[in-house]
Amino acid sequence: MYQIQIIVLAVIQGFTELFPISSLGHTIIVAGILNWHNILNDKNFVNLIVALHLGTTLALLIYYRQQWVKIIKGLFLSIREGNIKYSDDAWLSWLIIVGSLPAGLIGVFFESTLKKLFSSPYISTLFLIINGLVLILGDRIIKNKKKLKLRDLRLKDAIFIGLFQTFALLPGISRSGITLIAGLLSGLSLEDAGFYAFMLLTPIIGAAAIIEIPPLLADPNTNIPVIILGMCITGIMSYITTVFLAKYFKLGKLLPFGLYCITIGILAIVYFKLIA
Amino acid sequence: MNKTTIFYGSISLGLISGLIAIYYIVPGFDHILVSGDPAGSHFKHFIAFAVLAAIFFAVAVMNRNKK
Repeated sequence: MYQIQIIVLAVIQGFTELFPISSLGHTIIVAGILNWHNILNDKNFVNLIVALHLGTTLALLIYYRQQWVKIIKGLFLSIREGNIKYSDDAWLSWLIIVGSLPAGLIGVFFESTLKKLFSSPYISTLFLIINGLVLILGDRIIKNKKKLKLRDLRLKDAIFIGLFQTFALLPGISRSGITLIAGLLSGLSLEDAGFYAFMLLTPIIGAAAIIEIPPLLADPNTNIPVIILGMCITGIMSYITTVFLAKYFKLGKLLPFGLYCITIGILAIVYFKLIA
Repeated sequence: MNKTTIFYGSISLGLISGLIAIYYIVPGFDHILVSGDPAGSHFKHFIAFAVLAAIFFAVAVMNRNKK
């Protein structure tokens, strides 16, 4: 993998990871358009992409640092005192733990099967269009549903949202997007569903990034300074998108993202079929 | 469900998860539901089940009998 490719991947990942438009789908499609088949077939491609998420994790931890401090304190307090009250910080911490489990476990067991999908721009494009359709559906849910507060969610809702998050293991399906939709289906407002999606993202992508770093370091061809630079770029861009999205979700609109995914998906199919 | 049931249930599930974690980290025999070398250590599976065990034990501690 060339240095410029890693930097471009970091920019794409950082910019698209938190938007509900699938960072992995965009990465694979852009790599396909640029004829970067060397990176799509590189054994460390997925490891690199996941390792770059460490930057996104740090960006989310920094942006939501006050909430995380309260959540972690609440978690330890609930364990020590043996008591959780609905709607307090401890309750939110258990919603995050329960919601993170399905994607974590399914990711571990089906990793190799899913990795085979990662080298195909066609499959990513197809899933990107599906992602767009789901977002348009989500936009309709926002208008119809009555709104729950995040802290009023039950554990079964967290499991439901966590199970939905497993679809994000498919390239082209956005993790934040599908988690948002599941949150909306559970009755949350877009703002709360967005916040919960980011809270669920943080431990999952952080843990995955930490696990994928040792295999990268073990490879003698790995350019560690460039990867660290890539993580920094991803982190800075993710922080900017977090600031934007935290405000944008208050508007309660997902339609632009849905239309964008469908348009990009169709254009990519036309490109791969007719031009490439 | 009362607290005693949750306590013993969580302890049992924590122990099972802990044993599965050990199963995946010990090399030298074929492991099920893995990719790559079935007889090797499977670190990601180990981490997943170790985390699960920790969560079950935390739930057990929360539901302990406080006399």
